[in-house]
Amino acid sequence: MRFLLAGLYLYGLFIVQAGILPVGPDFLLLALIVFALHEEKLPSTLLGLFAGLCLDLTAPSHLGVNMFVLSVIGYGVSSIRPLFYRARWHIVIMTVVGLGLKQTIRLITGNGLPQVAPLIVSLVLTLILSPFAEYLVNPLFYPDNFRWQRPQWKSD
Amino acid sequence: MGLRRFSNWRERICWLVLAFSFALIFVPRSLRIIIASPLQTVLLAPLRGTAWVRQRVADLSAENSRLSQLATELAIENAHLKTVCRATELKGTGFTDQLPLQAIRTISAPIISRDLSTFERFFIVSRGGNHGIRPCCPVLAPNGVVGKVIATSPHQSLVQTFLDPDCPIAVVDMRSRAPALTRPDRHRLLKLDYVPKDADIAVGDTIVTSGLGGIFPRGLRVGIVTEIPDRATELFKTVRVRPFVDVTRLEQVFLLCIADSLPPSLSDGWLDNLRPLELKTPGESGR
Repeated sequence: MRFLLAGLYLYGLFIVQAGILPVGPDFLLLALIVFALHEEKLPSTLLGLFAGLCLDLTAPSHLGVNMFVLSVIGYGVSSIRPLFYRARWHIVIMTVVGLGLKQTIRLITGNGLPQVAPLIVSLVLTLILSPFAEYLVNPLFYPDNFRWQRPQWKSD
Repeated sequence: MGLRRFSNWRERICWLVLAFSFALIFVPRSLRIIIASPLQTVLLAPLRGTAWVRQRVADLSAENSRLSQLATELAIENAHLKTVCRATELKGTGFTDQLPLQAIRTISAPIISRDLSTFERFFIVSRGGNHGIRPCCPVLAPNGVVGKVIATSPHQSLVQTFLDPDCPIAVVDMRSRAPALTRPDRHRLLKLDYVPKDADIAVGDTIVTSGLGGIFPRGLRVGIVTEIPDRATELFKTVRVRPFVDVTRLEQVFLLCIADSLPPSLSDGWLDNLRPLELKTPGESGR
């Protein structure tokens, strides 16, 4: 059930990303990384495949590129998550790796190369938002693992 | 190690999915389009809906802009016709002149900046000298008078609204023709200055420009009289007017560009006040 809701949620993010904020942060990638940090490999890979399919449908001649990239990211993040604690800086690192992988594969396959200026804006916004990616998913799907963090003051 | 990896069926499905999506990259483009088209119909339906809504909003915005311009032009024409009708009533002659609207050009201009202190006294519009705008051009909204241009650059103009104390407008009561000057008060309303105690002004009267200031053509709507408090100790009558235009909510205005040399055939006198003065009143340096 949660897997289906996660798919619906990713689809909603896709609508926002493609329809309302075409030059904006890559919400799908951020949400996928957070999902993959909590889910097993198979759901993470399938969620990546579905998110990639949504993105690929906007340019059907490039079908497969985003599907492959996001599936790999979902599988990869889910595979390496036992290696470290879920901290927001780890999400930033994964976002950097994910973005790098995505653009590299796009470049290698020669499919769906975006324009430079929107690409840079999108990359920068995605990186800025990546430390807060947990807020995108966790309050809805993993409330037990999520707590609104307040600043801790040192006591003298 | 590598073989143990594939012993789990979930792991196998994962690798199958990865292999499938990787293989899809190398499928011929035409085939990919054929595969995607049914999925597109289903999954991109909300996107098409969003695009339709955005297009509709853009169309409505364009139509709104066009209708605003039309309303302003009709307001100008209305002001002219009312002046002519009044002159015809007074003279008892027929209306023979052509409309002088060819001497006036309305330019729509979006507001791009406002004064940060009050938000209502000045604003800048994105049309300037290159568009034919000069200082003292009247600025209107479809509802009525907004103010005047006080400075221009090639692409922008600074507009002073009627809510600035230094922008009085010469007005008359449309019914009784009692003249006055507008002055803003603290509540974004206008007060009428120099209204004699015995002037025939009543609540609900419409106040229009008189044309005596030399900037606005006659008959443009300014506001409606809302209150006439009875103050026996004051020299002049206190009249409060609610402007037709809410300056703080404006996003677009219309600037009236009046031709340098008005054609002499305009004998109805509507734009006569905009001609340069050839004589000076005693004690005045003229404009």
